[in-house]
Amino acid sequence: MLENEVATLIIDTLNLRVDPSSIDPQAPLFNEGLGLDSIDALELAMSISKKYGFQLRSNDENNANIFASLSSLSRHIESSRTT
Amino acid sequence: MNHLPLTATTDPERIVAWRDNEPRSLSRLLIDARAVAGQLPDRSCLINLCENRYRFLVGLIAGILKGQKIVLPPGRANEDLKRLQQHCNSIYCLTDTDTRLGDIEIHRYTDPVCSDSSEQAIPEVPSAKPQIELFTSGSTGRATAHQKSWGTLWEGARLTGERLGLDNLTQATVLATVPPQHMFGLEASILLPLRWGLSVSSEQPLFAADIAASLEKLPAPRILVTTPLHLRNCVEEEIKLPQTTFILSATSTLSPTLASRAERLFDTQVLEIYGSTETGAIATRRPALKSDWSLLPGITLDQETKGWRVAAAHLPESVRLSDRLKKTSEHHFILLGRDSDMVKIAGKRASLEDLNLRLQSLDGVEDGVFFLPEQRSASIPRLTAFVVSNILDEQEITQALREQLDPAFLPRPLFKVDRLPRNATGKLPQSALVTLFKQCGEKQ
Repeated sequence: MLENEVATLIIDTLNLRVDPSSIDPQAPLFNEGLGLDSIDALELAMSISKKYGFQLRSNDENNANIFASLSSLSRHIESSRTT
Repeated sequence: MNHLPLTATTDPERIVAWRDNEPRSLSRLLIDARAVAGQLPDRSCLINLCENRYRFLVGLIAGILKGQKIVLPPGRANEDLKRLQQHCNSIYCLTDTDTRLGDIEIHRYTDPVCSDSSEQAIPEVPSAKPQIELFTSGSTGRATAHQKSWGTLWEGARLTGERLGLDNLTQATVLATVPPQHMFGLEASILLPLRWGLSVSSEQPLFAADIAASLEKLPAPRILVTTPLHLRNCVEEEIKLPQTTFILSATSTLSPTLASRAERLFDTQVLEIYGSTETGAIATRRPALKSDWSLLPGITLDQETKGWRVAAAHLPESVRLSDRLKKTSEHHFILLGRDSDMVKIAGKRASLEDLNLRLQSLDGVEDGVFFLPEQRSASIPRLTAFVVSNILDEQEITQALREQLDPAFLPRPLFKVDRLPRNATGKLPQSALVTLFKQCGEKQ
C-alpha cells in the first residue's frame, strides 16, 4: 500500500519517531497535524524525487492539496511517479 | 524631524513589482498602499503576515502612511503571538490567508480596485522614528524587541547594495524564497529593492522546480535571494535555472562545496550575507572563492571580554554578536561557531536555556532538555529532546510543545527517557547528552 510506504518515507526522512500506522491519513501534515514546516517539505521533496523520480512543485494550483494530508500526498505521488 | 524617501524610484511608471506575471508600476503600488491604508483599523501596531510579497509591501507602506508601527513576529506559534499582544495592546494583524491567531484582531487584506489618484508624491518617512519591530528570543524566556528606524534600514540597504554592485543593476528583479517577516528577507527582498529601485516578485517559491519556474517568469537581470537549504535542493535536483546575475544566500552558513557546485551549475555568482536581527547585514563573502567575510564599509568589530561587538554609524547602539569569530585583518574575519547556548535553525535563533525552560514547564513533564546533535552532513541541523514524564507519551509532549514553539524548534525526534544524566550538581554535561543520544538512536 503506497500510503504506508509514504508514511515510512516521511518518518525516516524527517526522523519523526512515530509509528507509521499512527499517522492519520486525512490529518494535515503541516502545522496542526504532524507539525512539519517548510524545511521538512524540502527534505521530503528530495527523498520523494530520489525514490519516485519526479520533482515536487508547490506553486501549482493544487499546491495546498498535495500536502493537505498523507492521503493526498500519496495520491499525488501515485499519479506523478516515474519509477 | 529628518525624513527619507520611501523609495529611490522617482519615475511613477517604473516597474517596482511583478505580481502573478503582471508588472506593477510605482504609481500603482502607491495607489494600492493609499487605498489599503484607508481601510486599516486605527491601532498603533500592525503585524504584517501577508505571504504574497506584493501585498506585504503594500501593507508595509500602508501601515507607515497611517503612522502605525509594523511588527514582524518571531514565529507563528500561538505563544509567540500572545507575547506580542502583551507587548502592545493596540495591535492587529494584517493577513492575506485565513490564518487564525488566537484572539488577535484580524484585518483581511483585500486587493484594492485600481483607481486613479491625483496624489503622486513619493511618501517621506521620518528617519529616526522606530518604524519596524522585529523580535529575537532571549535566554530569559521573553522575546526581545528590536526597533528599526527607516534611517537604519535605508543606510544598511545602501551599504549592502553598494557591495553587491546594485548601482549597476537598478533594472534587476528580485525573487526570494524566504519570507519578508525576518531580517534577512526584509532587507534583501524589500529594503534593497526600495533603496535601489529594483523590482520584486510577489512569489515565494519553495521547491527547486518552483524556483526555476518563478525565475523564468521574470525579465533579466534576475537576483535570487535564498538559503543554503533551497540552494542544495536546486543543486541536488540539477534543476535548470534561467540566467541569474547572482544568488544571495543567508540564514545559515553555506558550504564552499555547495557554493562552488551552484556557481558551476547555474553559471552565476553565489554571494553570502552575514548579519543578525539586531545589526542587519554586516559582512559579505563569495564562499566559492574565499572563506573570509568582508565587513561592509563603516562597520567595525571590536573584541571585548565576552565576544565581539559590532558598531556602525547607522546603528543606534553597538551590538554584541552571539557568534565566535576571528579577525584575519582590519576588515575581514572568519566565523568559528556560535555561543553554546544559542542555536540557529532555519534562520531562526533560540536560546537552549529558554527552550529547556518551556519544555520543563509543560504540565506532566518532570524533566527535560533539548540537545543539538552533530550535524548530519549537508543536512539542516535539527534539535532533539530528552523528556522524563510518567503520564505523557512522545506525541502528547510534542503536541504541547507545538503550542509553545515555532515548528523549526520542535524536536525531531523527541525521546522519552527514565531520567536525565544529571551530575551531582544537577548539571547536564554535554558529553552525557551525546552518549544518551547515541543510546536512544541505537534503541530505535
